[in-house]
Amino acid sequence: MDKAKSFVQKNLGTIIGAVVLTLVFFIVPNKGVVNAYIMKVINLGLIYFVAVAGLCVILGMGGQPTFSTAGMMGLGAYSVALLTTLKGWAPIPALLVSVLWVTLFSVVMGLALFRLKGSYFSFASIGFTSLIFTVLTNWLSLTGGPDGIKNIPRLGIGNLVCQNYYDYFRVLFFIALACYLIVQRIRKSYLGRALGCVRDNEIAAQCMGINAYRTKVISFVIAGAFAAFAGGLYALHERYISPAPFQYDQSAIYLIMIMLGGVNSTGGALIGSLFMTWLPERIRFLAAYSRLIYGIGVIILMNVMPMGIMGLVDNFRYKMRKKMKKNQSAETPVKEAE
Amino acid sequence: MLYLQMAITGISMGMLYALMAMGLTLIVKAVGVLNFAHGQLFMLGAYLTWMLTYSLNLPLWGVIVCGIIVFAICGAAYMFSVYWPLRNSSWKVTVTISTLGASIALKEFVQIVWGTIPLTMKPIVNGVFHFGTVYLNYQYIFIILIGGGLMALVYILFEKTFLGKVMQATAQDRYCAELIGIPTIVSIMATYMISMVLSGTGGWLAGPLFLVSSSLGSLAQKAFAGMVLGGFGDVKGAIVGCLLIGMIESFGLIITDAYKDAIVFAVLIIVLVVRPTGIFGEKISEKA
Repeated sequence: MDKAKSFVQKNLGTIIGAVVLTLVFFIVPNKGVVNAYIMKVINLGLIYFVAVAGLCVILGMGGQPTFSTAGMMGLGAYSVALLTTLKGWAPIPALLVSVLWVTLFSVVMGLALFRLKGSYFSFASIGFTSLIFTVLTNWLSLTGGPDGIKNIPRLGIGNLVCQNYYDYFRVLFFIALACYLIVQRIRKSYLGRALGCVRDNEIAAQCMGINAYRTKVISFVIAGAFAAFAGGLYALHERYISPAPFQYDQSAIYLIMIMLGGVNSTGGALIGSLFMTWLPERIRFLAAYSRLIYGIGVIILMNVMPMGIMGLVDNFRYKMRKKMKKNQSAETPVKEAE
Repeated sequence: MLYLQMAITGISMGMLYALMAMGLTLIVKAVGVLNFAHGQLFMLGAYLTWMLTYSLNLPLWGVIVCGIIVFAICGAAYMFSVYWPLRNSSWKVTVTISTLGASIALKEFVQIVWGTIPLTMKPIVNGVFHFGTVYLNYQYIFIILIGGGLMALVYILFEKTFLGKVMQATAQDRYCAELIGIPTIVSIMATYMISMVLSGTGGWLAGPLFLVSSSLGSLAQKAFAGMVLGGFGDVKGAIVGCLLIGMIESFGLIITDAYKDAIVFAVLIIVLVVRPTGIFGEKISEKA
C-alpha cells in the first residue's frame, strides 16, 4: 500500500500526462468533437511540430538559428512524392528511404555550413533553402515545377490505409508523441548537454573537450532528419505538393513557432506549432490585415515574453516555489544564494 | 559585345545588392544582430519614392531631398520599434525573430497602403544607351554612378568624420563607448538611418527595372549571399562580394536562365566550403 502510494507520488506527472493523452487520443478524433476542417489544421500542426522538434535540438539546445528546415522538408516531401507516384513504392518504405537520404545529405550540408559561425551560418542556410526552392520550381521534367505533384497515395500499410483526417490524426498523434520523447531523451543525453554548453560558450565548451564543430553538425543532421520526416508526412497528408510551402518564408514561420512556444521546451514547441497553424486560420476574417497583425504580434511577443509561453510558465513556477520556500524558511531559517 | 552588356548589367545589379549589403553590414557591426527585414526596407524605399514622385508630384531634386529625410525617419522608427526595446535581451535570437516579424508586417503594410498590383515607375532618364551592338537602359548606368557615389560618401563618413569615428567606436565596444561619453543611442540610430538611406536609395534605383512590388524584398537574399561571399562583417568585402554575385548572376545567363538563382547560391556554398572566411575575410581568433 505504502509502496503503491510512493510510486504514485513519484510519477504523478507521468500518470496525469498519460491519462490526458489517452483522453485526447480517444476524444479528439470524433466528428462530434471537431469537424474535418479543424482536424486537418490540427494534423498540420502536428506535422509542423515534427519539423519544429528538430529545431528544438539545433536552436533550443545548440543555439544555432537555421533556416534550412523548409528546404529539408521540401527534399523529404518531394522524394516521397516521386518515389510513390513515379516508382509506385508503398508510402512507408518511400518515407523511410527519403528520410535516410536526406539525413545523409544533411551530413554533407552540415559539414559545409558549419564552417561558418553564428549569423553567417544563418545567412548560408537561407541560401541553401533558396537553392532547393529554385531547383524544385525549375526542374520541370521531374518536379512538375510550380504545378507540383498530384495524386500522392494515402499513408498506410497494405489494407490499413488512413481514409480521412481522423485516421491521420490517430497516426500523427503517435508520431508526434515519439518525436517528443526522442527530443526529451536527447535533452538529457550527453549530446544535449554538450549542445547547451556550445550555445552558452563555445570556447569554454572546447576547453572541456567538446568537439563543437562535430556537435553542431550532429544537431544539424538531427534537425534535417526530423524536417525530412515532417516533409514526407506533409506530402502523404496533403496528397498534393508544390514548391510554395518550402520557401524561406516558411522557415521563418517555424522559427517563430518555436520562439512562441518557448525555445527551451519541447512541450512549448508543440504548443507553438499548434497555435501558429491555428491562428492564421482563425484571423482569416481580417483578410489583408491578418498578416500585418501577425507580424506586429511577433515583435510584441519578443518584447513581452522572449522565452515564449513555456518560459512564462517556468518563471511563474519558479516564483511560486520561491514564495513557498519563503513561507517554510520562516520556520527553519536557511540562507539561500540568489 | 554581348559580354560588355552582360558585365554592365551584372555590375549594376551588384551595386543594388551592395547598397543593401552595406547597410546590413553596418547594422551587424553596430549591434551584432542580423536584420532580416532589410529586403523589406529596400522595398519600402521603392514604394516611398513612388509615392513622392507620383502621389505628391515632386520634381527630381524634391524626391531626392524628401526621400533622404523620409528614409532617415523610417530608419529611426525601425530601430526604435524592432531593436531598441530588445537591446538588453540576453539572447540575440530574440532580436532576429523580431526582425522576421517586422519583415512580415512591412510586406503586408505596403500591400494594404499601395495595393497588391505592381506599380510602374519611370526611369530617371528615359531611353536606351546605344553603342555599337550594345543596347543598355540608361538606368543601369545611373545605378552604377549613384551606387558608387554613395559608397564613396559612406567611406568618407566613416573614415574621415567625427560622427563616423563615434559610430565605429560604438560598433567596436558599446560599453567602452558609453564610458567615454558617447551617447550610443544616437550613434546606433545614425547607423540605422544611414542603413535605411542606402537601401531606400537602392529601392528607388531598382523600381524602374523590376516594377515596384512586394517581391522586391527577395533581392535581399542575394545581398546576404554577397555579404557572406565577401567576408565577415567587412564593408569592403560585402561590396566586392555583391558585385561578384551580380556578375555571376549575369554571366550565368549564358549557361542557364531558369537556374540563375541556383547558380548564385551554389557558388556561395562552394566558396564557403573551400574558404569559410569568405574571399576577403581574414581569420580572427575568438576572444573568450
